[in-house]
Amino acid sequence: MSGLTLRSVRKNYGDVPVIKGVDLDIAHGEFVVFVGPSGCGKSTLLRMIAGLEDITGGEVSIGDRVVNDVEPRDRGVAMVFQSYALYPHMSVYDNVGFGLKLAGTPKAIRDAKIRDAAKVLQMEHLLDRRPAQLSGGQRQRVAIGRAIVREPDVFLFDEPLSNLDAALRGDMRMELARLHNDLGATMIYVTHDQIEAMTLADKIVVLDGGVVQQVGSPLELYNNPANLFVAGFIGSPKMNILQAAVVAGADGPVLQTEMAGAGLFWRPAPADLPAGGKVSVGLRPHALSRDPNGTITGEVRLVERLGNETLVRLALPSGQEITAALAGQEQIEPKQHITLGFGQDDLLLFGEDGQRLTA
Amino acid sequence: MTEITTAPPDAQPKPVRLPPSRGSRKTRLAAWLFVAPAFIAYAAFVLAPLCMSIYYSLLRWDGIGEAQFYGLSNYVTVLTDSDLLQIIGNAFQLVLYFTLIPVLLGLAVAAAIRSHMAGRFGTITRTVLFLPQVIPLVAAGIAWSWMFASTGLVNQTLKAIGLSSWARGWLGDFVWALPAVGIIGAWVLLGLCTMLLVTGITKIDPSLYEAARLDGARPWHEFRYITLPGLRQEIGVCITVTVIAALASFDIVYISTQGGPGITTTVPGLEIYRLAFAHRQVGLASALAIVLMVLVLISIAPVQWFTRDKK
Amino acid sequence: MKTASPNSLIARGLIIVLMIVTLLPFLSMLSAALAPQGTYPNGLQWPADPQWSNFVRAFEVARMDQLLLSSSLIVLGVVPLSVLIATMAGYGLAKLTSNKYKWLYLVFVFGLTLPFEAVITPLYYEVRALGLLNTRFAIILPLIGLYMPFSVYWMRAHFLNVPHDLTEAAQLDGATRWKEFWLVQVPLARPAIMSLTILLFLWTWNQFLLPVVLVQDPMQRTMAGALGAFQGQWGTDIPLLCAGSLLILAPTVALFLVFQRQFVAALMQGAVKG
Repeated sequence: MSGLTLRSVRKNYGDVPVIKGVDLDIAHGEFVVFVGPSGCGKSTLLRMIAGLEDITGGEVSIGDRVVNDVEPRDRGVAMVFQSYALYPHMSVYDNVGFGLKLAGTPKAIRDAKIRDAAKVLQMEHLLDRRPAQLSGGQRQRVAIGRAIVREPDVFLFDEPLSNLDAALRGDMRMELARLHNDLGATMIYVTHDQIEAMTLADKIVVLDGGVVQQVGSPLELYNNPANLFVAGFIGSPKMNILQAAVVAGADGPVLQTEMAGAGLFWRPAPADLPAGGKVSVGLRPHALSRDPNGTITGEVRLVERLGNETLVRLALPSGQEITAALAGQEQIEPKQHITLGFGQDDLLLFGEDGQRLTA
Repeated sequence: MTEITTAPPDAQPKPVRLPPSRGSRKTRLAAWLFVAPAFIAYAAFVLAPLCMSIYYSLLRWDGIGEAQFYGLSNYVTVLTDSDLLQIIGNAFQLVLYFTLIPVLLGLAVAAAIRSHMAGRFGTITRTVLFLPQVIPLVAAGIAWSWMFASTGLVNQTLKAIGLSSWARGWLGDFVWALPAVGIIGAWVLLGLCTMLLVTGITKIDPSLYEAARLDGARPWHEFRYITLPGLRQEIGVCITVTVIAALASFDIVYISTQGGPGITTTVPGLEIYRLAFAHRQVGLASALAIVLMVLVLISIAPVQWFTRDKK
Repeated sequence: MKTASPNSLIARGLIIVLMIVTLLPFLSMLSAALAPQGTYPNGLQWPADPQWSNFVRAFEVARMDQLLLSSSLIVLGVVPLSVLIATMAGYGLAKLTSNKYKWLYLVFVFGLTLPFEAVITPLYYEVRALGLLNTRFAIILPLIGLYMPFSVYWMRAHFLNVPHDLTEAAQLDGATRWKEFWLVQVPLARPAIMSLTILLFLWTWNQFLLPVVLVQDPMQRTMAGALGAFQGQWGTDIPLLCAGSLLILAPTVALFLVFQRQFVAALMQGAVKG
């Protein structure tokens, strides 16, 4: 069965390390998304799996064979490029069938496979056209079709939706999900858009600076981020991060944070934190709600009405701003003072090194 | 199932700029193989002879017998012999005709005709103006030899407009032969330069002109502040092409004047040929050849630098 | 842009003047070619009794059919091979873009400003040593080498504009480098290849210096090269000389008139990129 394994994979460009030791296990049939900011190395990692980049250190295995020195065409992978990379002078039919033609597949079989792929992607009527005559979404499908006919062990997608407009992106996302269901193949998908990651992935790999920050299912990453980076990256609007100080209290150290109201002590600190330390507290905008007895009071700076929810930008007395996502259509205006509350379980604590503290 | 790996929370990911040569070692090897045939041809018939030229230039050799090491004496001769200096000077004089006339005239004409080059008329114009570029230079030389002959069209015209005292055998005249050769070159290059400049002008954003007009600019201002700067690249190309044509000229001179009368129209290209194959002075010819090459480089470099893409 | 009528007339007048100036030498040659043999025609005048037979005689005397053949053979020897290896090299250099390998490209670029005269002398001895003096190969082989700087520069400029992921897609599709080059890149490069072919064809057909130096027999030269010998032989017979010259420049002019759009485009781009 064709899973994928990365062991201590490293990549340097000259002296500059770009991938700094990545370990990953991907099971057959999983839809894995590499996500992270620009320059984090996600595309590089994908290209190393494809064989388009040299591997400086470590091992990449597809199925049970190490493919470090195997040519791209022999690895059993197919890739959908961000710019589709369709051959401009060939028809859609020839584009899709190019790989098969190179492999010497007999014409009848080739024809059957091309038409099958075309049917799956609903592009039978486009087979005679040239790429220049196609829309962005159609080109996207041809690129996918080209990958499908090769019947690869692993599908690789390099930011395939970023060149499409927003509406089309939503539709194509659903098509990709459906494709994954139908084919049941292993898919590795690179994107910088965390919404795509959350909606498509079985498993998300968050990367930053060439290092894996966390691997897990979308909800795991949402509910249990391993560090500040993941916490801030996953979830929209971004998680609010506030500072808290560890202060000596009557029964041991407690956290003093503005969110507990000015100067109020609040909840025991995690056991191994010395007094005088600093802690970051994370709270998602959706965890906040209007509560006359709540501990957060501030002046409204900005209101964004989305119809199903209202996003409020609130300035705390210290001047720091947080975001709240309130359900429904609230009657709130800028310059108003409102009070918000939250559940203690919604709080996430992070130490000075950015790692998550489990209290 | 959640694997948590350590990472400093505030590690700013430096956006790594990918070096252009991506891909594996295998890519580079393949690329070399692709370049090899062209490089071999180039090395065999350009680089190797060039090195030989440099070597010969240090010799005193008649091409047949023994060669004597001569050091830099040939170069000294090239740079001090009055005849050779005049010959080099001739080439630079030709630059005046080959370059100034086509570029200046071309600019004037291009500025005037830029909006009239469309449609059938434009196509015919283009076709006609390019004719001199399509024929062999020697054919142009012969055509103009006939034009400049004592019974040729030039004299015929002069006589017709009452300037018969000006009529003469142009290409045999000690004073006028070089300018006459210059005219031939100007004729060959004028069409090309005009067309290049016209095309360049059409690429200039028309709204620049409109904005200038609103600012109160007169045609001369428009020309100076919009047209000229916008044509920097094209002017650079015209100058480069014409200067090289002038300095390296051979065909036209060979066929029209053979370098005469005397050495008034001899150019370095012709003299190299003569020295090497007629006078059997291979060393001196090679030194002159190297000097010519250097002169071309020195003349082109400033032009290229001034008109380089400043984006 | 509003153009007033008088400006328009001046502009058109200017263009017409330019065209006349361009065409005059041809016309004067034509009128001379039609004059009776051995005479000294008087400038531009349509002769009373046009001697079209001069053209026939020039054709025979100069053995133009042989010259046409010779030029064609030389062009066939030079152009296809040059275009092929330059396309390969342009592709290779476009993929080798890191600074470490830029020097290879610069070595080619250096040759762009090299006058042929700078290497003609050693070329003579080199060709002689190869035993190819006085054969068409004396022209063909050096020209291939001499065309490399421009041709490689030209094709590289094209390939630089082709997105790299096309190559990667082909790699993933299972294409070897060579297959990718032939099946993907070359079809895409057709316009650039066509322009290059036109330019090299023109330069080869009109080549003069190399034939004159390296090949004695006019019948083994290009037509332009043969004109030099022709002038030596018949220089005093102006009508014949003019007729011969017109015949010699006819082929390229004819081709130019037929393909003028492509020629013009090629010539202009050739100057800009050169």
